[in-house]
Amino acid sequence: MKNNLYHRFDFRCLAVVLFSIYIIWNSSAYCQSSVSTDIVHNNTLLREITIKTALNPPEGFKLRVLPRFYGTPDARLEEGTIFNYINGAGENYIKHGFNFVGNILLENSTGDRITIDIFDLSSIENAQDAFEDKNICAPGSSPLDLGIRLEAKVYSYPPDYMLYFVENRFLVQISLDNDAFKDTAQVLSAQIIKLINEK
Amino acid sequence: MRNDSMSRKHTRREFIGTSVKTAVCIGVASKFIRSGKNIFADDLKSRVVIAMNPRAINNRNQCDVAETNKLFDDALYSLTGKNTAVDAWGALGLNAKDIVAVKVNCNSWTIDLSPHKALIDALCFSMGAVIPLNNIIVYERTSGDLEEGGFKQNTSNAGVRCFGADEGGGFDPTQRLTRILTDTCTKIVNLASLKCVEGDMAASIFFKNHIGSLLQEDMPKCHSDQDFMAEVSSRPAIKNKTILNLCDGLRGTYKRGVPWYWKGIVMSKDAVAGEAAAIGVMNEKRKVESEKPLDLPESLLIADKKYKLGNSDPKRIDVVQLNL
Repeated sequence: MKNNLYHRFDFRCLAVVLFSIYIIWNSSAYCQSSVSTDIVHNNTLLREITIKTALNPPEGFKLRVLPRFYGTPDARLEEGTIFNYINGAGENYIKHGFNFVGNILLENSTGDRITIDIFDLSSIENAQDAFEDKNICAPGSSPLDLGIRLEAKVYSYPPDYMLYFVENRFLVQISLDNDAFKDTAQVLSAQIIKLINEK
Repeated sequence: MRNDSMSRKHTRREFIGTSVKTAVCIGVASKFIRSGKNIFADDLKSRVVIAMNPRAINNRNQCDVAETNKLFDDALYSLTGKNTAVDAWGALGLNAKDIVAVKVNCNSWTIDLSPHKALIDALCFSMGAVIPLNNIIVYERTSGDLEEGGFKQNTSNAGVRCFGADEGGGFDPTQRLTRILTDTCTKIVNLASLKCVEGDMAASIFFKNHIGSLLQEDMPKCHSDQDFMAEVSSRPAIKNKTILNLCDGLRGTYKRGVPWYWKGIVMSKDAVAGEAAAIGVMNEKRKVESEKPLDLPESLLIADKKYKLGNSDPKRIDVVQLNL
């Protein structure tokens, strides 16, 4: 019993320390770069939201890889630009003031995956415009009330399930490859909305 | 006697003349064959097989292995007019010593449109009748893309190899393509997914699939430059080594971001004709859904007219429909 508690405590401490180092290292790296202070601030906020979400995965899921961050051709992040992530589809986000995207990939023991993409689109207006763009949020969604200003959009294409919403300047896309976990997507949404509004 | 002698002289001259003409013809023909140009392009139609099997996949994106094998085999036999895998692959030019690169396009972002493992297994199993499985390399832009598409990396000496161009020994400086294509493989199978992107490009099928074979800095050019898109497939390694173009439409999209279980495949030696036919498949569904039909992208017309990579004109495409 004592050993178990010791191991659990040790693991959590280690995880927090590692992620703290990760955040500090990334923030300092970008402070030294040539990007403007405003972008550094925006970038840091996106990182905080992404990493805090990643630190608290739903039960049964764990991070498949460390969170990844992609920027624009003018402000590349460590994994490169949005085009390295989603190829030509990146143009649609660039049109709406895209700054950065944070990506989280979660997986459970049976291989079911949850992908979370948090797009920083510079302003509330841009985020809302992107949310109405049919090249980003295709027609055919169902509305879902998450208690925020705009109803979320839900897409059900079995076995895939997607939940998109906008909060502040962030467009959030949660994609599941197994719709059995759609309730989990709603829990994650609430968690991310809370994190955004804390800032 | 005199007549015989003259006759012999005349025959000898004729023989030399005929031999020279024959040699010239063989030389010209072999030049065309080596360059990969379809010497029959102006005379014959390109065959495209559109095959469907409703039992090959269910509505949860799960394949039935036996039915997927049947779908693939029947399409291959129909394309080649042969009855066995050995004969069919022989007709496509596969030899026992060949190393085949299979380019797949893993699309796992939001909707999973990655190629179905059951279809890749059917392809590899079939080629296994001619070459060892270890002579097959399934590759994508990166090993990470493959893993996210559900494929396990394998660089061992056993079984089908599977790894990304980022681990493929670098890029050829002249062709600006992965060395998997230029140096390692001797034949290529282009295995694309049936993906509608709308806009100028209309679809992401055989031509766009080779974005993942390019040097990273060249990839963005494919998003806006239709000529560049066509030109990539005219580079010698791709043009001369490709023996089959296979489009996985077990699950595809007929409009941007909207998946659909079409439950079929499109197969052709001619990438241009194959892509035109695949867009036709999307347009049939779009008609049912009251969507405006997709036009053939300019890149396909350029591939046909400028780079002579195949036929885009429906009059020069022989479509064989298989309903299993």
